[in-house]
Amino acid sequence: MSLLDVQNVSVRFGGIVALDGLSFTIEAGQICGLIGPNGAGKTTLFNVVSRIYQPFEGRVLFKGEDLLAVPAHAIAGHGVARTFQNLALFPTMTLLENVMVGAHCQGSAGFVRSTLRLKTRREERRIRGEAGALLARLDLADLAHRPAAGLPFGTLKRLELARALASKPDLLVMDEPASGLTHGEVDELGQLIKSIRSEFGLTVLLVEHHMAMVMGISDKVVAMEFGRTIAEGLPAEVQNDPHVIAAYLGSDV
Amino acid sequence: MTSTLRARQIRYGGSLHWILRAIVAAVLVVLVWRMVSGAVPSSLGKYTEAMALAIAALSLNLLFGFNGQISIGHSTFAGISAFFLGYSIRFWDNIAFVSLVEACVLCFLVGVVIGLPALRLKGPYLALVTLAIAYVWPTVARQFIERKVTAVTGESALTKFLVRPPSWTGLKNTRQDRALYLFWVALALMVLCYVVVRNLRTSRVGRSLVAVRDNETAAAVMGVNLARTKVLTFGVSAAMAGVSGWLIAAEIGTVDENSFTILTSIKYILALILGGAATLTGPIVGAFAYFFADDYLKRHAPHWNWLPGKFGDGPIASFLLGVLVIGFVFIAPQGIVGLCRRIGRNIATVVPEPIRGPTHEPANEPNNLPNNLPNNLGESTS
Repeated sequence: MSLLDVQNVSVRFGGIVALDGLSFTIEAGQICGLIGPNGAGKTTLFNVVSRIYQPFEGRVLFKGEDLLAVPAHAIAGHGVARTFQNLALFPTMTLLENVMVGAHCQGSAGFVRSTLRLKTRREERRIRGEAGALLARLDLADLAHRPAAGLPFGTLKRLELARALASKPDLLVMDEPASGLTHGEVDELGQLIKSIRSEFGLTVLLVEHHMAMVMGISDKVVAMEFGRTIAEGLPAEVQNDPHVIAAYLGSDV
Repeated sequence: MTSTLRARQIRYGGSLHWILRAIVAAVLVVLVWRMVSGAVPSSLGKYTEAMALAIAALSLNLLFGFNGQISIGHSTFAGISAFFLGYSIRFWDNIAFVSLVEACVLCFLVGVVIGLPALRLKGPYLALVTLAIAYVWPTVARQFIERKVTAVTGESALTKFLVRPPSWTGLKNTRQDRALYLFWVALALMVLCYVVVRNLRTSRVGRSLVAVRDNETAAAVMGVNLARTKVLTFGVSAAMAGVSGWLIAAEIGTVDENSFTILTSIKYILALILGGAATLTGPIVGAFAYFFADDYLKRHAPHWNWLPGKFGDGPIASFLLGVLVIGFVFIAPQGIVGLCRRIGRNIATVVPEPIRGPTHEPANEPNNLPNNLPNNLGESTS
């Protein structure tokens, strides 16, 4: 059974078809790169997987379970975490707090328990400790008590990663993690993604325009165009697929 | 801030930090003692009213400061609670504290209902809906008085309900003792509300509140139930506003439809902004500052003959208070607490426990991050 099984998913915005019967699968432990020209529907797919958009038709199975039946706020608890193309952090909160929000689904204290401080101490300590360890893992420990606002872009990208990892996901969905990074940072990021994959036992789905990185770290590449899968397979296979070349270069096949 | 002096660092939870905390606690105790010793009912009443305003500002801080939902309708919750106290004591012979609990539950429920449209509305639109509620309240209150009070007793307001000190306090049912009793009740309720807001803010729920304010989509992806969080926050905040209304009603002893108007809501917002929204102590500081600036101007401004000509007449106090608030917000947009924090940062900073690296790594590699970054004072939102 595949970890993520996207079956025939379609999304429409008015008359625009963003996803048109898209299907692909990811096996557990894989790094899967999703590529395609601008407007191919990659981010739309991400928003379907993180339940921001409701597809018009199709199914998304995660660990054999129908993901579309899960409410948006319960996705994290099911083991799906994501990062955003343009940072979606909590700017007024400290880095530590940002990561602790990432661990929201790992805690259970509600309004009553929080107000009365009923058995929250141990949970808080655990979440704080884990968040601190994640910050340290991503070289952010020194900044832990600074608010996120105003820090450099690359730092904030790592913070987003730390926050996503805090929910202890099985599937990490990364939307253009390399965008806005320098060449050196991109190489480091590729290594980082590979190492956290094995360290945290993750499956990674990433959208990326940075071809060298995608081809370098992916176990599998899915190419999209006009909301459909045009090629699926090993990086080298997809790279040489005539449909993919056509989609990128516009030659007639 | 271009101070070249390096601010002294105080370790959070360290001995110096505890000494500072003890000093602050001692100052607060002396302040409270100065308030009650030898005070007459009218001055005690002022403190009680200031504390009621502080509770309202605390409730608004939870909703607006931390959760980002604006409400101009909080006077309505205070009004509901005040009417409930008046009516239930007068006509049902209710015990004051039973009224308080019931009024809070009622305000919570009404708050949840009003919070529901807040799920779809943001910023100015939500402000407009809550404004409408504050606008409608006096009419509802008038109808209530006419049908339930005037029809029975002939009076045109809810009056003559007194909150008497219980016998175990040793206080008698005199004006002085009642004022003293209410002062202590107000102080206890204010501390209680402060602790509720602080506990919420420094917990999992509090982080989710601020997360929702900062970025709704990201908060939802992190597993925060947006609808539940927003509606419950509205409810809790409304109940707290109810505490404020109960206290005001108990202090003044008479309420009518003009006791809680839109202006009351504006007063809550001003007190919060003046003290510093999204800070824990800001609402209390702001409420006292606002209340006593208002009180001072009302008593003295009409006698100032250096004011040019016509200014001496008319509601000069409100005008001066408005000027003062506008001026202050220009100087300190983060409120009094924000200003103090900015100044204090140059003298000393409270540094939280540093994060230690992962234990499984034998040697910590030297970090390539600059370590001369300016230190932030404690938690950014405490």
